[in-house]
Amino acid sequence: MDCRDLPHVLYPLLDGEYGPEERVEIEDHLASCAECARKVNLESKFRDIVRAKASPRRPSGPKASSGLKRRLMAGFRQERQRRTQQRLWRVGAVAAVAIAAGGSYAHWRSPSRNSYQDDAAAHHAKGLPLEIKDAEPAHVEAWFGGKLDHRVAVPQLADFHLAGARLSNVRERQAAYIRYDGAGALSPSPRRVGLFVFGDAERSVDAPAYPSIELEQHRGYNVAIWREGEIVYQLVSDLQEDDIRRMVTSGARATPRRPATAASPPELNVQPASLRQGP
Amino acid sequence: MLDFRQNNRTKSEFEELALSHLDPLYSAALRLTKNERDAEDLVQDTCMRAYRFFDKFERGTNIKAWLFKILTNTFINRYRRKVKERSVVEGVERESVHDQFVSRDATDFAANPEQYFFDRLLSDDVLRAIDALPIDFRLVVILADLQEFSYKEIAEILECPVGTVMSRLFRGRKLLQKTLREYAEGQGVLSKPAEAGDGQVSVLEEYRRRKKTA
Repeated sequence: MDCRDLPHVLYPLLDGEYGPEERVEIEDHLASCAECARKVNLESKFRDIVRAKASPRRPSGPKASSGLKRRLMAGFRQERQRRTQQRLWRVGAVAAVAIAAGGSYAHWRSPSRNSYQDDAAAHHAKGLPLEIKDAEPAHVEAWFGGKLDHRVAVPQLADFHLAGARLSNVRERQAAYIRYDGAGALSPSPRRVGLFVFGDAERSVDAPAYPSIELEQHRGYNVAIWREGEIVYQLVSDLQEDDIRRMVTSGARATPRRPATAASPPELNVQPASLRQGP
Repeated sequence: MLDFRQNNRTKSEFEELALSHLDPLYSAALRLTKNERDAEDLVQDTCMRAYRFFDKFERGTNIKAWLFKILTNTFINRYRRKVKERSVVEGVERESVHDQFVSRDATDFAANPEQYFFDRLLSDDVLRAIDALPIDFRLVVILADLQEFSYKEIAEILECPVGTVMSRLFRGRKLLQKTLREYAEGQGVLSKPAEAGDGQVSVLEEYRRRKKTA
């Protein structure tokens, strides 16, 4: 090579792009040409300075914010659920066909639904403090306003009084948690009923449409699940199964306090087991 | 019929990999978009796309280069439209700066010993000068100097020949030097050099071509 080649070989040389053969040829020239060697030296220095001053690894370099990381993890989670739900839909379709073909009733429990119920029972069991303590449903509904991306209607349960509510979650879903205390509220440990309400616009949670309900036992509680349009309800209590069924399904629907929406809950009417007369 | 485990393992593996490259991705996005909000959006878009297409990633190949390919594609497709709108105004000016620059001997910069000025350069100056580069040059300088990718990797990321990477990098670095020299002159760190005579800028591939035929 000669001096005219320098501009072409300069950067590939500095960037380590040449193999040993090419390097030797260039270095031979640099050893005999002070001017080219000086230029290479200067460019090398410039390259180092740019890297030192602008490298993302420098101590003051930009770092991804924790907010960005959080949003990403949430995005991944959402994407994962979307895929799982797509698969469950497919399995669900197959199961439905199998049931139709067999002509017999199959109680098919998807892992997804079980987990929702189990998680609701777990949250209820913790007895976390209420964020609003108020016996007036309208106050509690107003308190939820804007906190969740769906409206929360607070039903009244016969023989139970509204104790208050808090924000909670059932698995990854933000949920309203409404707690009712039993008639024996004056006794040392009043019976408690928890109602979880969460939005499911995609209808990906497996829950029967009201007035049907699905009942399962989790962690010593009976958990009822049903949906009203895009809203899923889960009632967690230690009431007996037939009480819950009656409470949820036999109650006459209340006159709504405001125009009925898809989200309005059933009127619940319950007789706690402790107050019921024997059969 | 259902194999969640395989899929979950792949996905959690991806999350780990993506998070370990988050800072480099973000810092490159910041140089491309020039503001934090757009940079975060760009990184998020990039990671979500990568997440969806992770099955298409070939194991054992360079995940960082793969992520950067998605980053630059996303930027070019979605964000560059905005940049283009802006450069309609600045384009003429930029072009003339560029022409003026390339018409000079590429090595005349090195002929002036005063140019050790860059010892005094601050990070902010260097970043500002990189941000001022036209996008094609900026991309290559970011990938080569800030992310330290090889020419071959850059060619794969930008889906262009290695020769194009070399010529863009050459021009990008020269333009960067010129901009920094102007900053230094503006700040009085460096006195204006005497105008150098016109020289010839030749294409980088030429050297190799000549070598082959020699």
